[in-house]
Amino acid sequence: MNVTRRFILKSIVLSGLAGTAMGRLGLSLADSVPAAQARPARPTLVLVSGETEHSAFLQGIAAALPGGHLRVQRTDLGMGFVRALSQLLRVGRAVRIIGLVDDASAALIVELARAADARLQWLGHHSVAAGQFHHRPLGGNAFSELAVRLYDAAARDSRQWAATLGFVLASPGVGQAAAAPPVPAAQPPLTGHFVSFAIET
Amino acid sequence: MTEPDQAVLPRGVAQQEFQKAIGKFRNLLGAGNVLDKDEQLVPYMKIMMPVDEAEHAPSAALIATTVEQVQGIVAICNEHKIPVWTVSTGHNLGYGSSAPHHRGQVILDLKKMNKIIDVDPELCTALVEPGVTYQQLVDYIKEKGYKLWVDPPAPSAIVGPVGNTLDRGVGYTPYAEHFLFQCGMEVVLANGKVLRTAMGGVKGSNTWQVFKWGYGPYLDGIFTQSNFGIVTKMGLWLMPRPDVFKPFAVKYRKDEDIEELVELFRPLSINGVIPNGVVFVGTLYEASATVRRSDYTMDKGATPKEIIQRIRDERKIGAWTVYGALYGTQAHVDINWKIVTELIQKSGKGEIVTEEQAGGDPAFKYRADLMRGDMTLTEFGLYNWRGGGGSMWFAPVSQARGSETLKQVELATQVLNKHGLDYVGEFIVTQRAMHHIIDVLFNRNDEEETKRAYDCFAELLDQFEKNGYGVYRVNTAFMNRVAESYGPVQQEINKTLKRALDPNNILAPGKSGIDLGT
Repeated sequence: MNVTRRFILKSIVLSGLAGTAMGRLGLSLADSVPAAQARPARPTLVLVSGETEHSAFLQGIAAALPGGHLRVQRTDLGMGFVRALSQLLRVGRAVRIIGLVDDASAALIVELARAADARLQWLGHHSVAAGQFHHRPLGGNAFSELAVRLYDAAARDSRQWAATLGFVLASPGVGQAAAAPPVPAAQPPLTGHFVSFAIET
Repeated sequence: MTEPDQAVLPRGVAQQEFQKAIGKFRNLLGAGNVLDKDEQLVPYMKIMMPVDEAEHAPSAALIATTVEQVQGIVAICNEHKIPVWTVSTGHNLGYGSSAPHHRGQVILDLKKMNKIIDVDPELCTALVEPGVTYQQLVDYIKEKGYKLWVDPPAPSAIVGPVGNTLDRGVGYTPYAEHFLFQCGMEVVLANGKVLRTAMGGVKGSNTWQVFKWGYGPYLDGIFTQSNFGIVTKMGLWLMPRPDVFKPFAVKYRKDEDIEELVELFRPLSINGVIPNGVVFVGTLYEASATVRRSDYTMDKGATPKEIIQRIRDERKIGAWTVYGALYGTQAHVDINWKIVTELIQKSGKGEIVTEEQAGGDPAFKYRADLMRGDMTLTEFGLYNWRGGGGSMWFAPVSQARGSETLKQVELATQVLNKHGLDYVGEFIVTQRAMHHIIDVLFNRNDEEETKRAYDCFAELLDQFEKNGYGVYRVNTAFMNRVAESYGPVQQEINKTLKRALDPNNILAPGKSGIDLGT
């Protein structure tokens, strides 16, 4: 399926994390994933910050979970975000949190995840500039091939890495075999420093 | 059923021996509190130092909830010679995070020992466990309706008083010198015995949290920045909420103004007019609340002076911004404000900014929040200045004299720029001493830059040491190096204490350079 930017805008709900009800979050995704797809065992929350909000990362996720009304949240360094994320991590219901964020947000999110005993299935560091890519995974056997795939994707087309990352993080297990959606030619590559993660409670 | 082999093992411990210990840990703590899978240990491996994560990879992490469990862990560690690296909340990001000093150490995570045992609203004391965070303490105080303030360091909400005090960290209110405001500890020693320091040793005493000294040698100090015991409770003093709090900033335009500034503000600090630490924030540190380097340049290397000047001009940031606050009754604050403003006006320099004038300025709000002990995480913005996740605090201490400032800034800038990095620093004057706090920020995703950052930090230590400066605290990668700068006699005394208190070297070997295994 060729996922377009228009599709992304229509299908993704972007909202503040503060006040998010886990029940609402769980229902929106569990009902949306087709049976043929490898159904995620738990609802998924996507965290983005700054330019990643408008990047191919979300296109990759949407392609992995077609038709889903994804809950996408912006991160910030405010206490409201910290309290809400801490609460989400500790509430006791299974949730999968994936994201591509800036270094400051990532430092905070990883620390909050550890404090809440959450499992960090993937932690990747990405520095991308014109013609240069550094993708550095930290641990996480389940995604050991992902860094290689990111290099391959970026080498083919510098716009592609973020979509590949989003696709694989959103579809653990099946993402390895499937292809991430091609990014439209008009979309500029995502450049800068980012951290990606997949957290499960 | 046999356990799968652990890829990472403690120094000198065989696989079989390690698995025996893990089995005993599971019996003691329950399987869910013994973490040895990748996905469980990765969160403990995120470091910001310029070294490979593998050098600081833990073999396992243990989560204890009681003093008895900590005693049990110590017994197992002694039996199997397992080194254990203790963290309270473990969010000490610029000083090593929660990762152990060296590869293979088992992490003892005390985050779930998080009981607030007592808060006395009249004596203004607290007794807490290591996992208690400042946010938790604030919530508790608020719930009880007590008129008390806490004094968090910059990561405020997510860190806690025990870990920060034991690392001799500081905050930003008049109670900023945390070890000064600590009173009484409970410590599990390596032999499993439980020590209560000072008045805590007297049966029936109710003075454990009010009188620091007890009788005989004062012991609390040897359990800070050390590995002689595991602190399981700590008393601290809380600040009564003042009637009036008046934060202010003073902006100065020129780099060289810093010398006069310290001379101007030091007397106000020593005589108590400004009772909290006076902070002198450099341009890029101040800018990090709102600016990223990539907003101005994508070039590698040190940020050119012209760009720094552009940031000052466009963002209306001083070469130095001074932050302080006044606390007390309205009458107290009125008198002290008159003293402060008249002194600044008389000096003929500086633009005074009050809270009302600052409006919504995020940099001012961040500093004001810190100085009133509110929770804020704005300082994390530093990690976005350059990006890439590398950060190390370089923190030399000097006399609080103007003559100490500019030469340090020039030396640090020269070394940092030589290695393609920026001076992102501030000074904090606390009466007679001055901390120079520099965040060495770099891109850990770039191997070449990471190597430069390592060399840079080593050179900063060398150059400052040559000029008679020692750092008061450092990340785990450089602890041995810094211990050397304090001389062989201090090192030998520390080893003597270590041999006496922990002969099997099981408690955090390497902490502050103290290790019987080297």
